Amino acid sequence: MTNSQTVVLGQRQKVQPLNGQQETRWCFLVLVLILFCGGLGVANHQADEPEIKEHLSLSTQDRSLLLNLSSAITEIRFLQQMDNQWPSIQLLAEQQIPPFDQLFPLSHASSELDGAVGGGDYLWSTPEEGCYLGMSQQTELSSFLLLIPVTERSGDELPGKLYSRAEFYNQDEFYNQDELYNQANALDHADCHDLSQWQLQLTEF
Amino acid sequence: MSGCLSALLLLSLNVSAATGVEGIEKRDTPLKVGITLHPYYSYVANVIGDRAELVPLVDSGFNPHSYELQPADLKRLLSMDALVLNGIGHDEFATQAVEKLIHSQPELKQQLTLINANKDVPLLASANSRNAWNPHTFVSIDAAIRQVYTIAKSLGQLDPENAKYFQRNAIQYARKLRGLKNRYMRQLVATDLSSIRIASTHNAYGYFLQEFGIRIDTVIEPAHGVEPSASQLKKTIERIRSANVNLLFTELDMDNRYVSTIERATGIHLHHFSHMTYGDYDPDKVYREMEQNLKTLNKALKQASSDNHDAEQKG
Repeated sequence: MTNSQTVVLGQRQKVQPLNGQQETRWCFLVLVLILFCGGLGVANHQADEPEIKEHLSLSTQDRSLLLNLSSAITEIRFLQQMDNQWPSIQLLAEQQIPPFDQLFPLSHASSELDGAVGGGDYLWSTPEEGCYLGMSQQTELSSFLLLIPVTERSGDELPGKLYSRAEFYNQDEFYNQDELYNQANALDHADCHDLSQWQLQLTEF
Repeated sequence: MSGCLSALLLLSLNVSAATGVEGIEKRDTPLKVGITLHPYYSYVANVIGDRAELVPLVDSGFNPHSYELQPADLKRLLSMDALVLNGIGHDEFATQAVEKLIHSQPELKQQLTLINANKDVPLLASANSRNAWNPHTFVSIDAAIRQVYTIAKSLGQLDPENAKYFQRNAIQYARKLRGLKNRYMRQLVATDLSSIRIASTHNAYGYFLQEFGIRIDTVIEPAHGVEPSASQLKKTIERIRSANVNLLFTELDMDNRYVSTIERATGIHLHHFSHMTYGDYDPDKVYREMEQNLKTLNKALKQASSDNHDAEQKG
């Protein structure tokens, strides 16, 4: 043994154990970094939540009617362009356009009722041009309002809109046809513009 | 001077002849319209009549649940002016490829108009998947009519000279389909449908049954085109028993191996519908196969109603 070796032996030297501790720490840090970057990537690339459509909360019967009415808009426009006047409920029934073909006229003369016809589940009327109102006669069925804006030229069509409203209709309130007649008369122009009670379901094109 | 004036007159006459009396733009060549699925072939064929060309994107004989576009299909795509899509999950083999192509070839975007046939249809949610629509709007009459009108309007915008013609054809076709449905619906007027419970292997009949006021109680496949596992099948069988499901609808053209297991385990009545996306392309396919489906539905509902009635009488 030399004197220099004796001097070295006098110093304290820390010897790390060969158990991979340091490597483990580095690996762990890199792992955390990768996970963090991955997490950021996932968080920033979430698919958009699809828009919740209002009509999904409607019953099967209401949805079926909504679908019929969405096609009826096209047929009403077609008839209006052909005849240069908005079709009445009676005409729509004669043309067998659903849902208007599922009705029969009330016992009162149709002119007194201003074209309102009903029977079965809905009371249909046209309070104004381009406005078709179907009042539900059953508690479990919604009422529907179809609004087609009146335009000057066929090339400038504005989209029609379909609204629905849940009804809590008490059948006991109406004892006879006269009561129904009064309800039909009560469907005035205000119903085509006061949309506060209505829920928009569909906009045409 | 007079030569110049007459030349100008001739030119203006030519221009007005080209645009028509009302100033409607006239195409040089007939519209070339593509489709991705068989029912849309029927819809478009009945709308365009003989005033446009119809081109299926894929040759007949493919399974839309498991297809990937081939180079020959892409070649056809590049020749189209418009492509009518289901667009809500039944022709993803086409929609995804087309979106990528349009992204990489901006000139294709100029040339090709994508027509989303379902954009005006109030859609149903998919039964067993979240955030997905039920794409089977083509197995129906009412939803079919709504799509036919959307298609006619879109094609009319691309070919304004024939817009009225397309619209008239669409309305005529709609009336034909409605007449078909009404014939079968009338036969069910006296049938009590209130206690009928329905299951189906594939979630394809929601729109169709909705037209009769019926909803589907149980859909067996866990996702579109995916067969149930053994434990999922067991749960389904238990559900069918506990909910007193009377009818099981399955497909004519799909090999559902587990259907006989369900039939044996529950005694349920089995009926086959056409999914309408197999076989040759044909303008009358929709009418023919929907008539078959209406006949099957009528038979099934009457049988289930009378079985319920008998059970009540005995009880």
